[in-house]
Amino acid sequence: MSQPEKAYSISVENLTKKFDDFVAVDKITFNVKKGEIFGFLGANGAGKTTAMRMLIGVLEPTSGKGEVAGFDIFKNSRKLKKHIGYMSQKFSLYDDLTAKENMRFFGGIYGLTNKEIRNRTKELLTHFGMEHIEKERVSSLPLGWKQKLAFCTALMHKPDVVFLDEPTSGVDPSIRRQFWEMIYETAEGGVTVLVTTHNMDEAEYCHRISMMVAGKMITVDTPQNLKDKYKLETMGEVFLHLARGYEKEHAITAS
Amino acid sequence: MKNFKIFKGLVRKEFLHILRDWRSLTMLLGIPIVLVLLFGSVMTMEIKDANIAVVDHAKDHDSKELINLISTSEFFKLVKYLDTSDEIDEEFKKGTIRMAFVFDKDFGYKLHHEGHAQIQLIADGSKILTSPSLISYGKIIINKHIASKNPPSRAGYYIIPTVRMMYNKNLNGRYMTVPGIMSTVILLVGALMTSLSITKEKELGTMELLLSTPINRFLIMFAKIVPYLITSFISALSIIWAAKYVFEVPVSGSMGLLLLNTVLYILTALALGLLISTFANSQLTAMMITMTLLMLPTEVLSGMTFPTDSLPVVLQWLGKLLPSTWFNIISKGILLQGAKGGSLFFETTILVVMVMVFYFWSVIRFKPRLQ
Amino acid sequence: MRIIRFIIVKEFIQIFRNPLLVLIILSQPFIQVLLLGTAGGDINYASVYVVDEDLSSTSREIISKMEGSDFFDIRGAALTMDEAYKVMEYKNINLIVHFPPNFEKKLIKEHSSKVQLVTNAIDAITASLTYAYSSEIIGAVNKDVAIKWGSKSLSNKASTVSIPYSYWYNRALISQYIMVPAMCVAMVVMITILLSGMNIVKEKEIGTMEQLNVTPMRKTHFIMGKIIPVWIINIVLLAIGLILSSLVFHVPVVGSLWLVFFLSGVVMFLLLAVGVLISVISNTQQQAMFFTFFIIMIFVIFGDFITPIDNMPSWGKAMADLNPQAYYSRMIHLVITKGSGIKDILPDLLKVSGLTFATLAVSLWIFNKKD
Repeated sequence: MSQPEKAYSISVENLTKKFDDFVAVDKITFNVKKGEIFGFLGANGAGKTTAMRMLIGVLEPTSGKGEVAGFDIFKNSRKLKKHIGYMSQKFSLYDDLTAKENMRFFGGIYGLTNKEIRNRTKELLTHFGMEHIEKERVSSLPLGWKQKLAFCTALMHKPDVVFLDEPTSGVDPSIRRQFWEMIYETAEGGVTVLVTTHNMDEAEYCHRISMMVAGKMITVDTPQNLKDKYKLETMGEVFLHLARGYEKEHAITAS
Repeated sequence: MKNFKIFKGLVRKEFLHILRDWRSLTMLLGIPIVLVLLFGSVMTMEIKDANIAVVDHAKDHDSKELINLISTSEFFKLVKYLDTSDEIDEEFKKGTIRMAFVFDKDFGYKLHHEGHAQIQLIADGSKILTSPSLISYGKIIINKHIASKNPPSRAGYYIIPTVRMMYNKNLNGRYMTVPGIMSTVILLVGALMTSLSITKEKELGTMELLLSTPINRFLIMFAKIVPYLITSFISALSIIWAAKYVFEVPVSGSMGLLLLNTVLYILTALALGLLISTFANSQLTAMMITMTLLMLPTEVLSGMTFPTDSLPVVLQWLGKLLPSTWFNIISKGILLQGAKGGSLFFETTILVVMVMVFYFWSVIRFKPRLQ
Repeated sequence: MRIIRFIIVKEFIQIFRNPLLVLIILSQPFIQVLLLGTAGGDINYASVYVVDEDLSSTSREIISKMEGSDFFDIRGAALTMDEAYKVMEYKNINLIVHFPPNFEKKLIKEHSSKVQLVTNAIDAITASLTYAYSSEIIGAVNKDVAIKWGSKSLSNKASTVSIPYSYWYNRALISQYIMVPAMCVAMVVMITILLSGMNIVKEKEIGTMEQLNVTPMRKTHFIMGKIIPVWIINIVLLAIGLILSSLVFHVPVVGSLWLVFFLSGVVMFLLLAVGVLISVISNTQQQAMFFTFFIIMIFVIFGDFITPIDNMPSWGKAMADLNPQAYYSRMIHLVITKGSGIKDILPDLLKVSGLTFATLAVSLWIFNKKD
């Protein structure tokens, strides 16, 4: 299937999700280029996961426009799913299968041929230095390895865009660094990466980040630009500054 | 004092866990009473208006008189006259009739002139639960009628049986099945609840965590089952209420004694669930073990539907391993026979022993593995 | 189709990775069919205590006739009724036969005399059968007495009817011929629903469902991939069950064995649809467990297994019309016991298919409404 070359891998305009009266995601607008690592930064409950669930086609938006990998998220959610990879916050591979069996299963689900599955499994495991865990049962792997395996599995079908929901929560810093190396290598291969996190150090690794507070996207820029703009040392400080500012503004308008 | 505080904290945590999932709570309290009401209403061995067919080769006054008598009895309802016996097979296969009466040719003539005639009764042998009773009722009606036709004479001798139905004057089938379903439901719900919830904690790893703390293991285990003891007791009360007021099962003995034994029985069920959870490695296996080892066996072996005496010896022994067998004896004894604590001492002791064995065995098996 | 195959392979790997689960599944034919199949649905036994205050030849004749029958088991004798009542309460004796003093003298002098039968009627079926069989024995003794003491010419005048009876399809009323296929049915119903319902919910609980939702896989493919392995497992269990029933119990299969498997395969899809429905309405395995337990109990209650549908009130029969187990059990008995062909069971098969589509439609409707 040949796709018309698009300027952006993800382009979103005024995307909104309401649950009854509660507005979880409020008119967010942003674009992500091919091969870019784009971060969703925000506290828990800020609407990051809801926004991501709309982009991966499992949650229907209330209003707005959105296109991922060239597919409309309203009309083409099944076709869209073929071209994206997803790694959820909660570890979700089969514990009682081996690494290889998991990759084989998900490859099969995405409609890969047996040969493709074999080649791709070998390719990914070798590439990321994980050949030795091939025959290990997932339940016996340490958490960091499980996360790396989940990432490989999300790449089985060569997706155009990969969505990572809090991929490194709970793993130790050395594994986290290795994981980010994997993300960089993937992005260099032309895959667009969208990652959510509430870890401010991690935000530094992204090409560009967006900050979400109470469903609204309050800023989108590169980490360096943001730090320069507010003359602050770390992304954590930038986030606190912006979040407080936003809340203050709202408190004023509310009263 | 400190232990008691910990215990209270654990129980509160378990309670919150149950109360939070309203769907499970509704089912926990609702399912037992609904099952007892349904089962008690439809479970009857009483035969009323059973569909029958008649093959009357005689078609004379005597056969017609007898057929009329049979079809107006409360037991039978005549739905079909058939010409030949061959047609009976067809009706059985369609399931339209449950029994057939075949009158010989010249029935009346033979009866009066030869003093001997024949009626053949044919029932469906695949219905082993009801067919023998159908045959018995058919025979009783025919025999009574023929006896009444014979002139009263000083020549015959009649031994007349007088019958006294003990404990259940009206032969109400529910007297046996309602206590039976009560014991099955209490046992299964209790064992399923504990075995599943503890296996879930094993899967999540929280059980291991709890057991590696210095808190006494007996206390932890007991705290796990206290909430289910309370919910099970509430549903047991609702079942006893239904037995008494809906199904009019008399409570001849002491209600206090019945409730005490019910608590003991619930504890047995929960301890058994606990033991199962020590063997299960997933919620699915916990459920499979509990359902397959308890559901059909309690229904078949513990005297709920078939009297235990009529089972093969091996099954009688297996039945004795089930707590429900003993509770059936206890509950029927108290409800129907007005038994006092003394006569049930043996059965009660067995249940106490079962609780102890299940409980201690589980606690021993739950020893946290040292790494 | 390829995607379904990948899911099926994954399911089988997961099942075989859990040796405990495999053991539980494979032991089912041995527990439910081999063991419980020997439990008779027939009541062939009543224990008797005798209080003979007459000690005459007539009373002895009745007692020895009872001893000679297979049905009665004379456990002992008591001197007084009080003593016998105590035995009934403590040891659950079925029947006390009481001959009052001067029983025989009265019979000779007055041509009629009374014998008292006290039955333990908690179990109403055994009680009524006990009464029917004792009446038969007393009736036979009446005839003997008439011949012994009466004048020949007079006794000849009383006309009699002989009532031969037969049970078709199962002449000797061998309960195992009926119980064993019934246990196969109960096993398949239980295991199919247990495995399918819990297994789908498990994916929701461990979070893999979330991952699968992001793949282009269709829900119908997922469900097919989940239920086909359960279908295959149950066909294997049924085959083992039927082999046991033929090797151990020598249950004759009058109809076609292929038809048995065919209709089982069709019914299994209905049962799997029920499992899917359970998984759709539950969020956790615990909720699924409650639904599964409730549904299986309802199926058993309205399944003609221990509760004859024939004796049910009309609403009970209506419930049975919605019950897969009732259809399954009826069709199995028609084919195995009565030798019916596809033509006889076609109406039932069509209804089962209709129920399958209805259940699946409801499941899909709820499934889609949820997201």
